[in-house]
Amino acid sequence: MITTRNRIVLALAVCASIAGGCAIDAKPAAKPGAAVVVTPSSLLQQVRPSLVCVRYTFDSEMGRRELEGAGMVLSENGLIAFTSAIVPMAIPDEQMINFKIVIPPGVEGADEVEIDATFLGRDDRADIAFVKPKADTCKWIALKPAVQPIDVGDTIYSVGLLPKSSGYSAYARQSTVSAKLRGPVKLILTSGNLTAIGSPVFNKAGEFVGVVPEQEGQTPMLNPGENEMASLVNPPVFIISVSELMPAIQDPPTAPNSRKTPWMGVVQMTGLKKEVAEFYGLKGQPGVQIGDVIPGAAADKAGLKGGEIITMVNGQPLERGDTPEELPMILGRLVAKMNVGDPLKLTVITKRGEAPKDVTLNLLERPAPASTAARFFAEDLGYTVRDMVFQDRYARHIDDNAGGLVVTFVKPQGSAQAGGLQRNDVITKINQTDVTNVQPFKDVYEAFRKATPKESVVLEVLRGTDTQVLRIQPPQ
Amino acid sequence: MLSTTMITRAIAGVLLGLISSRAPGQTTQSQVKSQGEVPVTSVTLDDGSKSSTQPAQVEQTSITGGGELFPDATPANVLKVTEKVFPAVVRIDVTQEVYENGKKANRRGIGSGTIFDAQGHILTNYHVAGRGVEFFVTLANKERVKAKLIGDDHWTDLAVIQLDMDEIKSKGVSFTYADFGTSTGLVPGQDVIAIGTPFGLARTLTLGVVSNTERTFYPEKQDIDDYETGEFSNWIQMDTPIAPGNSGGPLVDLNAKIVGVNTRGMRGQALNFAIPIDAAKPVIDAILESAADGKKGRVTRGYLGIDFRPLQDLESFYSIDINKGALISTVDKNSPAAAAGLKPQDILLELNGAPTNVRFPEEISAVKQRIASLAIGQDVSIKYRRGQEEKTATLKVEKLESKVGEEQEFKQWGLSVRDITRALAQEQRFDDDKGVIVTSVTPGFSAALAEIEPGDVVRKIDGDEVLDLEAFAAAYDKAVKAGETQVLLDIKRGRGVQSKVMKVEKK
Repeated sequence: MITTRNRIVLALAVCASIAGGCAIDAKPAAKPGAAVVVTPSSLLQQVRPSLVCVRYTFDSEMGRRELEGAGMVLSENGLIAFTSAIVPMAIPDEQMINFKIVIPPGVEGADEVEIDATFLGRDDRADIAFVKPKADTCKWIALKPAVQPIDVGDTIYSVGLLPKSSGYSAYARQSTVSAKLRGPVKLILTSGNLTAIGSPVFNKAGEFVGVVPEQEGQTPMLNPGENEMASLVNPPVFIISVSELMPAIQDPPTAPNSRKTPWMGVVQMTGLKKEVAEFYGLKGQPGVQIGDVIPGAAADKAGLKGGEIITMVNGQPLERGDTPEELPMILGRLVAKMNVGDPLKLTVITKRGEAPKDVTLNLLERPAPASTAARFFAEDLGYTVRDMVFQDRYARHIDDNAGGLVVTFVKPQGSAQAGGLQRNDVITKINQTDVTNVQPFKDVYEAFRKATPKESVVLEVLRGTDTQVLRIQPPQ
Repeated sequence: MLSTTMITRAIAGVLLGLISSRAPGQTTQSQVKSQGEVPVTSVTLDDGSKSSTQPAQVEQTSITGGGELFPDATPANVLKVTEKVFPAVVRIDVTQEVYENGKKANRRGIGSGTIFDAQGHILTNYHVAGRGVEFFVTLANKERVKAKLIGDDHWTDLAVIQLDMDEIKSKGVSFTYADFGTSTGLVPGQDVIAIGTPFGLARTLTLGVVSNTERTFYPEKQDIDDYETGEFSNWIQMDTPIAPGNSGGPLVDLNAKIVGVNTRGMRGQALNFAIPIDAAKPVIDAILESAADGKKGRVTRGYLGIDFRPLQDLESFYSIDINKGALISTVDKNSPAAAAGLKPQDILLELNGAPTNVRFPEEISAVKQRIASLAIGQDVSIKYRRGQEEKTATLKVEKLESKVGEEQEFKQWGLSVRDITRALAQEQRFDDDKGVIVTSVTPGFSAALAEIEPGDVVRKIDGDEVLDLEAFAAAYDKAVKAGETQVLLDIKRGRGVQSKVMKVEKK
């Protein structure tokens, strides 16, 4: 819904914008590094062909919904990057279908062009995701990242797409760099007035130097359904340098979860407060305390223990964040940028007063996230289960060898809900048969339902530390 | 639309005392056999002074037809209640000791109670008087007398306090006490009277009917300030209007006998709940028996570590006769039941040779009460069914523990901590019951500044292991004595270890 106030703002914004066009008609982008000073108008002309909308269908148990976000063309064969906020980890991989690249309607009045696309997955080094076109039908004009330093006081321009309700028109905005912040992601504060999330940012020479990342109070969607004009009324204020994206851009995933994420196998880390750091003899040096070590993982194999304090990584002191809370994330990002199998040298303090020791561990692969787990939607009785992943077991103290399925969905007013099944229950038995993983459960369940469609299904579930026996009665 | 669960929770959620705002729960069983109450006949105090009168038994008004007899609210019967029970009902002003913001704090409240014997014992709710440190009782004759806590039991939400008999004597104050009746045989539709001090208003009498005699809130579990409650009996539900402040007051039949303790309700909904007096009697007895000078009376209960669910509609699934056995849902880790190899979905058939049948939710509390009444350390034989096979096992009864352990404040560090009981360790999935759990911190003081939070488990102080509250207190005393200005606490938050350094001001 566009309010009257929003309409006015929108009108102003559109004045400075030019509708996007199919890349086929577009002029080539300006050469990077050229020592010219661009105007917003020329920049808009130059960048418009490289801006697209990425669209897919979220196919959940409750129905389908189209989700859209802004994408940037990064290669001549149509590799497109977009913020992974559009494809959150909470959505299971198999529920994201029908990816499309949408080329906004052209200036000359051409219709929008929808191109079938393949989802290539997310890259957690930079929180961006990628798609590529299924067929080679378009000539793509790529943005060329330029790793130019951005400094406080620099004039920058961002170029974005307006929401679907405004026909995805491209628009440009001018801002100034205000401050460079520390932290796991090095945010750059601007004077604000940026275009929406996912917009590329340019310097005065028209070089692609940054992007507008996900930030508070902003929607990453081009079709958010409500507050469509939020980013025009309250524009984003943070950008990140394109250098933050480079590892992902230079080595994009080839398929969802194709990149093996390295993992130390430690959890619940805390950044040391000044008092604790000093207590351990760390003057002005950041430290991260290991909360818990996962048995069998890299840190455990290297002999690390919960409570030990990491002071250096690969011989370098940890980078300082703005607050101690950021330290574990800084360490996490550092490790994420390495590769599975890489050696990681940690300098750790075990006990106050003892000399730090060096421990080298070989990074193993991070356990698969829940979004990749096999699932089964029992539509007839209204619930979904999926295989347990590391996180489920760890949170619930469930042994690695114990079977069980996590309930991820219970249909409101459905049979399973009436029988008392709840989201996050762990099903351990079906009709007194032990549950291992999804496929055998599905087989047992479907066979039982087919043979005796009116009979109740009896589930044994873990809920907290209680065990519940639930009787799910099908419609009679 | 409200779900059934939400409604249950809403009903079960309102305590009547002005004291506590948290939710307990309760249950009793109409099948419980009447113990044949022992009427108190003597009203003479040790010194020979008369403190109460015991009116003669009055014939019940008989109702023919249903086979059961109950008295209704005739003017004569109402008068009996106003004469016999009304004067025995008191207002109790309580100061409870609670831990807030890392410190012991007082919480004041008002509830109701009934004097039930010549020694000046008063029955009330745990949520009114439990953990109380100071009591003032306003008698029917408007005199205010001090009282002390004799014992309390959060599991049934009951407490017994006693009038300061020295003060009674020295002031020459007299009081009246009321008789317990029986809750067995109460009938829905039967007239009942609630008496109490709603909102602290002097003794107030309201009339209504019994709505249900075996109300259960299953599967909802209740607590009073984290203390478990309401597992060992069902409730009497009545439409008798009651309000906060009525808590602990009597529910009386028209024979002028106490049949329940008004405990909770939904204000304005004509849905109120009382603890049946037959469930309260053994608790009162246990409290009075175990109370000694300086020692609070308490109820000791047996524990096997199993929970049940009703078998209703599952009989054919388990190929078992209707109304036979109790389906085991949860088996606690490291419990006697777990040691005997019991598993969820086993069906408990017998306990010490007597059948355990739970077909309906209303029947769960009776079986739980039977387990609770087992003597600690005793061997109990059980018969159970797994699949089609009948098995037997012998379990050693352990003592039922609350998940709420002993609590203490540590002023200089600005925090209060509790002992970790086995029950808490089980509920929170701690690896063991070592350490103490932080319950609150004082804003702006050492613990809070070191970012210690409620829920943190303190495992070590200055590198030394802290096994329990006693060890924590010892380490605290040592550190305070030594005048240490920096204290290292190793805590567990979630499953992770963290070091916290507290800066302590020298005093």
